Amino acid sequence: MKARRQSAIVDIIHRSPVRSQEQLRRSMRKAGFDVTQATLSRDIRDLGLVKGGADGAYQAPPLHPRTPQNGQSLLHRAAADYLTRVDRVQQLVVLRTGPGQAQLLGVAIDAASLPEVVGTLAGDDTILVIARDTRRARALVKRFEQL
Amino acid sequence: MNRRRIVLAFAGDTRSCAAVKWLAESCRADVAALVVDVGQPDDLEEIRARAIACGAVRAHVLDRCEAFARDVIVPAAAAPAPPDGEALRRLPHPVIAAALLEVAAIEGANAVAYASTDQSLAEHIGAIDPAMNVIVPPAESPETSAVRAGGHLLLRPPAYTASEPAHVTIEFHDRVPVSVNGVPLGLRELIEILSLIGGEYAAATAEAPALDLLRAAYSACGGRGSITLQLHPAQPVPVNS
Repeated sequence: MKARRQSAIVDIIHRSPVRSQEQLRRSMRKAGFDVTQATLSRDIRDLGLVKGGADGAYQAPPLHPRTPQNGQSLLHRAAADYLTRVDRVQQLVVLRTGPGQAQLLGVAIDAASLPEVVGTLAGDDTILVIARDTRRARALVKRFEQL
Repeated sequence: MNRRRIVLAFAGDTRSCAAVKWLAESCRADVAALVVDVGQPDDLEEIRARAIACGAVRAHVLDRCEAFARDVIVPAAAAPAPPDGEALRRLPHPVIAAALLEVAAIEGANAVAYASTDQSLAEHIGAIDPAMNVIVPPAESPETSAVRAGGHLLLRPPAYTASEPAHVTIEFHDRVPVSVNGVPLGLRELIEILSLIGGEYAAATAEAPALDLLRAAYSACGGRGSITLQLHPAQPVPVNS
């Protein structure tokens, strides 16, 4: 019940700005949770919500802020650990990993927001990376080979 | 709306399967399952497929056998007191904790989870990243928790019983075992071979015969040079005439 309630709180503050506990309590009631102010205070503390931003609304603390820099350093590590082979067919780049590791590397590629990449498709041990064009696919192969 | 993402250490047992559903429904989270290969005898591809079937959005398999052997088993073999019982089964926890946090970083997850009442894994996670949320889904009813996946590289494999005495030579470089009977081996293979050989000669109660052999080797040569151990059948075995 507590996990469900706290998960509802996180949903509500993600969906629209919430500036006060009273406003949060009303939104929770609309979502089907009739909670006391004391419970709400405890939940806010448990979840580590802080008021911030220009509008003073509650925000979840970003535990692992995703910036292009740390996205790329994660990709660097993931590629070093899991990437075994790189191939290119025109603007498609095919990456190979060990079994069960393709999706993890795929997530890392997505998170790194590489400018050459339109999208990725990951299976069990193979990732298809779609580049914007052949020239960028070549650049991408070079990038992976250097990781 | 962004659902929160949770990385679950997935062992393939019924409690892990129930945990995927519980996290998805009660925490309204996308669950990425992580199967860490620490040399368990299970079919890990099948376990991975089971995680997806239970509702995980993704399932990853990470091979951490070498790290487990290098960072945990070798130091345990060289330590003064051997791990036994629960401590032996908990040996992979530091490696699993590190893998969970590594995958959580890549997945952008703000929580990790595991399906066990054992606090030890949570302690290892907290030691590496005290800010990470650790969720332990509640246990389901006792009758459904009978199936247990598990084991790891060091635990005894099924073995034949030897009838003749034998010897095994282990060579060390910088306190790390590097070959058995003159054959250079990676640490994972080396421990597997020692488990097989040791399993044939160890008493039926010995849980980790490879660890016993390595400990005997370390205490005899201090992890330098090479040492030959004499092995005798643990119980007399009748020989066909």
